[in-house]
Amino acid sequence: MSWPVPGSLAFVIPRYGLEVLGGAEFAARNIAERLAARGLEVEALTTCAMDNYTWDNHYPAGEEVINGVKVRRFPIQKGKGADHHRIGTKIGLGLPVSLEEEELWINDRFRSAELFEYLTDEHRRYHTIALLPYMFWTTYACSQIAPNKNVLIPCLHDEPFTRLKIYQPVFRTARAISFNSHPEAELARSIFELPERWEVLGLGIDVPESVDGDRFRSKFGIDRPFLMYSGRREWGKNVDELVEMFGRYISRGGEDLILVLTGKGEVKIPAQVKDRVVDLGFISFEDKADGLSAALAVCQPSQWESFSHLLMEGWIVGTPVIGFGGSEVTADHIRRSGGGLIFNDEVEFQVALDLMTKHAGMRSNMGEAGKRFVLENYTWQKMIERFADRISTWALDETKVSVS
Amino acid sequence: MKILMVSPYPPLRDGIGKYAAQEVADLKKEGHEVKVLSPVPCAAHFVEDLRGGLKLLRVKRYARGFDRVIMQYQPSHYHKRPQGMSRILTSLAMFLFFRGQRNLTIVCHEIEYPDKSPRVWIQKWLERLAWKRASNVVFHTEREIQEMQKRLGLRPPASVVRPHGQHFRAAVKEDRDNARDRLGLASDRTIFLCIGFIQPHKGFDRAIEAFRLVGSERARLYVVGSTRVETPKIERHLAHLHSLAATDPRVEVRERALTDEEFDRWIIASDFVVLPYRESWSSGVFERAKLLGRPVIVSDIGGISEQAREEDVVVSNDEELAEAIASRLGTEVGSHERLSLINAHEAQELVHAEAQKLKMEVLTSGPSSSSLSVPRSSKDPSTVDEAIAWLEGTAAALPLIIPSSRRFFGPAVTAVKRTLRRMLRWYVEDPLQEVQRFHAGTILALRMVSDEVERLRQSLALAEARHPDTPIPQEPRHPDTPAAPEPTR
Repeated sequence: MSWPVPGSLAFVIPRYGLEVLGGAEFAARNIAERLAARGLEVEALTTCAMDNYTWDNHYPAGEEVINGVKVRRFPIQKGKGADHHRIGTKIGLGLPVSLEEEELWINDRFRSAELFEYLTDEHRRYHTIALLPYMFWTTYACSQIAPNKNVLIPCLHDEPFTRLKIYQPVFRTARAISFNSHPEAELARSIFELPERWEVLGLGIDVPESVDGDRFRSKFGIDRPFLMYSGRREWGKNVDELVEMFGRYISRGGEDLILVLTGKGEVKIPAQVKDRVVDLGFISFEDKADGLSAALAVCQPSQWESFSHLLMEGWIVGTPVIGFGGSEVTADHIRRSGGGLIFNDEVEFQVALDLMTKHAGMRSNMGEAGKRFVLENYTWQKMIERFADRISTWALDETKVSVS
Repeated sequence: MKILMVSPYPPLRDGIGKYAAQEVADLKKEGHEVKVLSPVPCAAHFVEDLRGGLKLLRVKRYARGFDRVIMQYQPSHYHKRPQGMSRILTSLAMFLFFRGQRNLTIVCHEIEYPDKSPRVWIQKWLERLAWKRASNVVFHTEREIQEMQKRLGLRPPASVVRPHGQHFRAAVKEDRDNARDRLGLASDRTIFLCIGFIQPHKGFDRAIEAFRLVGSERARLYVVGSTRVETPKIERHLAHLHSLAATDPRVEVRERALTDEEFDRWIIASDFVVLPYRESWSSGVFERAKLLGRPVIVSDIGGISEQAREEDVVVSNDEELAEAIASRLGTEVGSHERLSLINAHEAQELVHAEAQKLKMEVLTSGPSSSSLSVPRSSKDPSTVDEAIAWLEGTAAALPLIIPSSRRFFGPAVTAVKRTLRRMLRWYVEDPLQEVQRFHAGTILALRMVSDEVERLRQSLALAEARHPDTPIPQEPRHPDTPAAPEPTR
């Protein structure tokens, strides 16, 4: 299989690698590898950073091939950070900032002069430049080089940074935009002027070959019903808040449940619930799938999601979800699928958890509904077919415009 | 050859950065290896603060290992102040750098000259020495060299004039119809375009004022660009542009940060580019318009006239600007519009003068001497006494007396304040009455000015709607306002 136009597809993303954690990064690598597996020419243009907190150069600069994808890494230059912090605070508080301040804000965190230079000199190698996520310097800077080739995958959240002027041209001048969900598309339409071509192509998830809940229980010594959260513990994911709400649920005489957490990062577990909250840290994909299948329900407390892998991963193994309605993406998926319950505050959380715990039939139906939803829409196979088709069509359309 | 470019750089939306990026691209095509050192964070290979003190000399550290250094010179990147001790230091740095750096080419985008005050002789001497020592200096116009000769008494030994757009390349390949289609512009209109960062010195307001004098239904004027910094002055200017545009449906201000492609697309979509600068030495936008084959109407300012081709028009004042626009439309600035302009301008002067007179009359003579009488609704005050009564009676009155702080403090404090006011009343009553009279007079005068301006607006609207050959009837005017002089023919 080959692209209908000359050249390769380039993904421009600030971090790329097998060890890199993050929704957008995971998505980029999975899409790139699956396209490469079909014989399509794909490259990843990225920096040497692995950690999105320190942005230190971790990987060596240069080229390597990861699962069929040529990865070109370029060193990062870090700013002093003072202006980024000062202006970022103003942005977070909703105070007005000028274009000059916005430029200073984004240029003071990290940059990659060599990546910018490479794409400036070599963009003709690529028929499409896929940039993600919207917020980082790599997207903002590289989107200016050949905008008629840009396919933006913004991974948008409703946060103060979306209102910055520097991002307006990034959206407006792209060849096309691929959104992960319908709420994300609606949010973008409310903030930006979009190009004519945009579509909700979504993402995909890996379907585990087999799952064994008992294997999980015996491996980790968990013999009680449990609610599960899996993912990063960082600001905006509301994991600490989930632990606190769960703790209060238990102290008010809630059902005999424990809360199982997996993922990277620190989480605060109050002393009074230490026996009811089990933090397994980072575990393998197979163990996670086993755990999700054994869970009574999956909880997604995060406010800012652009796709929410966790919901899909729970549904594909037949487990229902309890999701925070503060994320429109989470709420939209649950409404469309019928695969779980939405909570908007702590009281609703407790009621939802009670219902889930007490009604096995309802759990089973919701789990099955979620599974159908994922199989119909969000397997990698379906997603990659859509994605490859759209990239090809948009590239062909652009070629016709250029010729005319 | 290894070349170090000292300049801001993309992704900053900066004219000099874009200029440098295009020069870097051409140098690379010639086979040179180019690295960029920027004074501000961007996609340059190196970033170093070069502004203030002797920081410019930090460039020397980076320049080791390069065969040539090209510096895009714009004073704000290297000097914090136009004058003063800070500037003396940075001028010293300039001298030391220009003198000591081998194979240095300086591309001048703008030069700040010290004023003629004797206090700045040290700065002037240092800068004169610096430019004298500069090995290769590139200007974009001969006029800039003449200005340096005039202000510093020298012409840099190895100075050349190079076209501003020498390294420019078009960012899009479209024709006018494609460009208009993509921008959603009508294909059958004659489009005049002002484009670039919105700043007072760009003079976009002059373009709108001039365009309004030209009565052509098929013409459109677009002002396109964004602000870069948000100072009160620039925000007021932007608001002024919007308010001017609101008076003419053919004028539109589109405020947005433009990509390089959009910038060129707008120029291609236009029929004429209008650059009514108040200040500039040379213009990158002019060069882009030339590159994209669009004629330009531009102010005769700085060295810009040297950039003009045969098809461009260089104008010296607002009248010539209006005439240039009109002639491009095959029409003239209509005599009735000119009449209206003259009347409006003179009438406005009269309103100011009359309002001043009224205020003085009220303030100096007291309420009973006022002879003011303006037709208005029965509820509005027409004399100062009525104005005072109105003020005392309405909740929306200006606060003449410090209000009781009842809602913020306890009753005991309020009582003490009330007692104090009663005790002091004999002392503050007279000044209070004067204050009241002043307030009342101000409100009245402002109302009269407002009425007069409204009357003039209606008169203008009537005149503009009228057929040019029909004489303008006399509009009723305030009895105290002298008749406007007849226009000279």
